[in-house]
Formats: sequence, C-alpha cells, structure tokens
Amino acid sequence: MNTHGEKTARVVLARKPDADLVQKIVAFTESRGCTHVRYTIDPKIVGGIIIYIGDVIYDGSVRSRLENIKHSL
Amino acid sequence: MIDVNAIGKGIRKKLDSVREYTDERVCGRIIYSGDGVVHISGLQDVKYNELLEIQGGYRALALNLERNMVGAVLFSGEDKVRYGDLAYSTGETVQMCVGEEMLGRIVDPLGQPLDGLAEIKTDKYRPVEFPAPAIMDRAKVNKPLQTGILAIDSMIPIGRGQRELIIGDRQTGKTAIAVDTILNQKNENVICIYVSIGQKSSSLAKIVSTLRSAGAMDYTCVVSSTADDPVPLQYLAPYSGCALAEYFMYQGKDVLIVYDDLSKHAVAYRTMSLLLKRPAGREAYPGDVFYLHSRLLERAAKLNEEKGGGSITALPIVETLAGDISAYIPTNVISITDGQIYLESELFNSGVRPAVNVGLSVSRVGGSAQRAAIRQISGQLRINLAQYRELAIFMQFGSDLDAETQKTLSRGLKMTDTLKQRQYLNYSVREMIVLLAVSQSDLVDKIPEKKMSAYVEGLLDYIRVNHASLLDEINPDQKLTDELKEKIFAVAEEYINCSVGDDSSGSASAEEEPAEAEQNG
Repeated sequence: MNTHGEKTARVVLARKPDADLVQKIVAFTESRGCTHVRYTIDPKIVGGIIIYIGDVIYDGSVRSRLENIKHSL
Repeated sequence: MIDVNAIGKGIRKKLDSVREYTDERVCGRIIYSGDGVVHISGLQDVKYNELLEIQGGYRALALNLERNMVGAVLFSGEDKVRYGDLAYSTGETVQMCVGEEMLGRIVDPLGQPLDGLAEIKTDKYRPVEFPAPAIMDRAKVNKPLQTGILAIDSMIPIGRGQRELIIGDRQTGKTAIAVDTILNQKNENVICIYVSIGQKSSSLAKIVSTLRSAGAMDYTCVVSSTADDPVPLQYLAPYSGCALAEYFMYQGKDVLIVYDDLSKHAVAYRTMSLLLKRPAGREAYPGDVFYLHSRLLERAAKLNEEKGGGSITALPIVETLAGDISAYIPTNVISITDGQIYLESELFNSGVRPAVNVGLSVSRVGGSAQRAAIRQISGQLRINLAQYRELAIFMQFGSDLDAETQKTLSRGLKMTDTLKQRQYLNYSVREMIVLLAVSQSDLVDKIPEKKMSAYVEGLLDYIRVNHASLLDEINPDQKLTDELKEKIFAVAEEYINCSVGDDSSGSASAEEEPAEAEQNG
C-alpha cells in the first residue's frame, strides 16, 4: 500500500483476459482492498491465473499445478 | 509382463493424493542464496523457527526475522534455489514424526527413514522445539539407570531423569560407554535413542551394526545427521531426538537419549550463525550457544506420578582438545548437566578401560537413586582410590615403604584392575555387588597383583556356573547382611584356592581356569 492508500494487485495470465474475466478479477481484488490491478501476460504459466496482493499469492496457474504433480510423483 | 493397468491405477491414485494450492498463500521472493542460507523479501507474518517451503519443493527454516528481509537456512537444495524463487510460509514449526514405529529405525532429523526399509507409517507428530517440563511436573530422581559398567554404577551412579555428561579427548571411549549403556537396557524396559551429530557415516554404521547384532535395535531409534548433511540438519538432530524421547516420556516410559556429540552440534550452530551474520562471541560461537544446549538438556527430566512418571535420561557427549575441560563448550555443558564422566587418554593408553578419571568425575543426583546394596559397599571406594592415587604418585620417587603403605598400594592397584572392564561385557547389579564386596575384602591380598583382572572375570564365570543360586540370594535393594557377605567371601576364597592356588610361576593357570569352568557348564 502506498502513501495515497492505493494498493495494487498484480495479475499474471497466459493470454489477454476478456471483459468478463476482467470484471471477475476486479471484483476479487477489490474485495481484498485493492484499488489498482496490473496485468502481466506470461505464456510460461501455460494457463490459469496468478494473483499477487502484497505478500499473499493466489496461484491457480497450470504450471504450478504441473510442478506440484511432478514433485509428488 | 508389466501390468499397464496397474501402473495407470497407481499413478491415478498418486495424482488424487496430490495437494493443490489454489487458496491463498503468503509468499516472498528470494533475494540472496549462498552457503545454504537464503534471504527472503516479503513474508511479513512469518514466525521465528517457522518451516518455509521454497519453490521447487525444498524446505528451509526461518531464523532471522529482520526489518526488510527474512534469513533462513536450507535443509536441501542448496545449489538449486535461485534468485527470484518464491518462498512460501507454512505457518508451522518443524515437526518430528514420533511413535513406536520409530523403534528399530534409522531416521534423519526430519523423521525420514535412512535405513532403506519401509516407509514409517505414523500420523503422530511432535514439535521439535518444545518447552521443558515445569517445576511442579517434576519428581526427584529415584530410580537408577544401570550402565552395566562397574566403575560408573559404583562411583558415578546415574539415575533415570539425570543428565550426565561424558567428556574426554578423541579415542578415549566416550561412545563406547554410551553404546554399552544402551546395550545394558535390554531387559530394563528403557527405550533408547541415539542421536548422531556430525559424525562419520562409517562410525555410525559400526555403532548400528553393534546395536543390531546385540539385539538392541528392538528398543532403539537412531537419529542420524552425518558430517556431510546440511548444517541445519545437524543443528536440528538433537532436538528431533528429544521430541521423540518426549513422546515416550509423556506416555510414562523411561527413555535414555545419547547426544553424540554436542561439541559438533555447537560447531554446526556456529557455522549457521556466522553465515546468518549474527555477531560472534568467544571462540566465534554466537551469544546464545549456552541457551542452545541448556534448553535441550533441560528437557531431560523425571516426571511426577500425575504426569505419568516417565523420564528422559540424557547422556550428552562432549569432545575436548588435549584434555582441556576449561574450553567454552565443555564448561558450558558441565555447568548444565548433573555431573560428568571424565575420560582421560593417559588412562586409556595405560590400559585402564573404561578410562574414567574417578577424581574429576561426579554425579550430582544419581547417588540417591543408587541401589541400597551397591551404595553400602561402594561408599568407601572413592576415598580409597583417591588415597591410592596420592600414594602412587608419591611412590614414583622410589623409597623403602612400610608394610602398611605397600598394602594400600597393592589393594589400590587391585581395585583399579577390578574396575577395568572389556567393552560389551556388562555386569548385572548382583555381579557388581559380588565384585565390589570381594575386591574390598582382605581376600584380595591372596591374589597376585598381575592376576587381578583375570581373577575378576574368572570369578564371575565360576559363580555363574557353580553357585548360580548365590546371585539370586542377593537383593540389590537391601543392605548386604553379614551372613550373605560371608557366603560371597567363601565362594571367592574357594575360587582363589582353585585358580591361584600354589601357582607362583606359570601365568596361564588363572586365565585357563575360567575357560575350564565354562566348559564344565
């Protein structure tokens, strides 16, 4: 959170989100006190979504799920 | 033929058990990694001693909580963790898996098996760091822990719930005493935990094979961190072992735990502290190295009946350099423990084994736990030996000695010989009583000085074979009656007459006799 009381969420996606998804993301981040959302497009996450808000991470990416499976097998 | 379906099923089952995190997790980013230490930015709510999970499946322990970052030490993946990797907090401290299943196993400080046997199936865990029992939960040490070593059980008795330090130079038999003590717990209903800290894998393998061949692994768990393990694991090993010991203690059982050795543990902690940039103190150890050991050893206790009456007896081992017990770690641990067994290389090399220096060894609480009969007959032992040593030093100047002095010297020598004991040859309490009674009686004057060691072993064999009922007659918890003493002396004399007899030239007779006795049996 900066001095103006603004809090930015960083959202990582594999491809550009459509309007419907953006609406969902904004609703989610606003419910956690964020005023801004910054989008990053990173094809390396394969699919899904990663949201960073401060120190908290919501990792729903396909890559991390695949990695998780790799370590468990 | 390989059953494809079965493999498919197996993989599916594994996949089902994979945990998925789509819920929120607190994370930070690694901003430095080197020498097994990582610095993490973020992780605001992390606790001290919290287990962290690093991207890639590695684990770390948060030890430095600073204003802008968290300093943590890695349990694995030292060379795999990279700058920018994510570090997740888990919200829990390090846990050790506990339970009866751990007995007979060799595990690492995180509870993972190292012996190549089956997975350890236990769902019980205990935190590795745990507060020591409160004052009101404790009871007085009142039950002996028999080491099976005559010199220790007679003069430096150890009680259940005591912490007795074994200290000495390298190669003086420190580990041998600990291993002997574990072996002697076979029918004593004591669970043993051997914690190896920073030792050579080869020495540990030797100890394990000794324990295994003696059948001691049935009631023993080995917690191992060898010299090549990451330093944090070596640091954690004694606490993990203690967590396991506590599980049994709070069930009302008696536990013996050996920390072999704490000087290497201190060195491991020093390495970690210096890499974490904590200020160095004396001998470059950090300021809290005393607390490191005091909080560990304070967890050894005897609980009162309301708490189940269990106990943890701790035998920490400390290695000294050139007999210097005034170095930092030895003085620390000496002051924490309830006494020490001091081993000397000079004694060891001159054939006194176990090389216990009786003058410098003490037991502060074990005396009250000693069996009545042993206490009765070993009361004078320490004083007599001290007198003998004083005289022996004086005698080195060489002069004519009066008969009385010669007698004291000869008796002292024989007493010292009686206390010599081969490794893995433990005496039972009753055997100790016999040996102590005989070696302090007038009978020893009849035995030639050089034959004393052989006589001691021979006498026990002779009694086991020919007078087994004599041992049963002795009640260790009652004082010896004069009548029983006479009986013991009569048997001893009988053996002296048939073994020593009129033999004055040959040296073989005394050694042969016990062998013959064995054959008779």
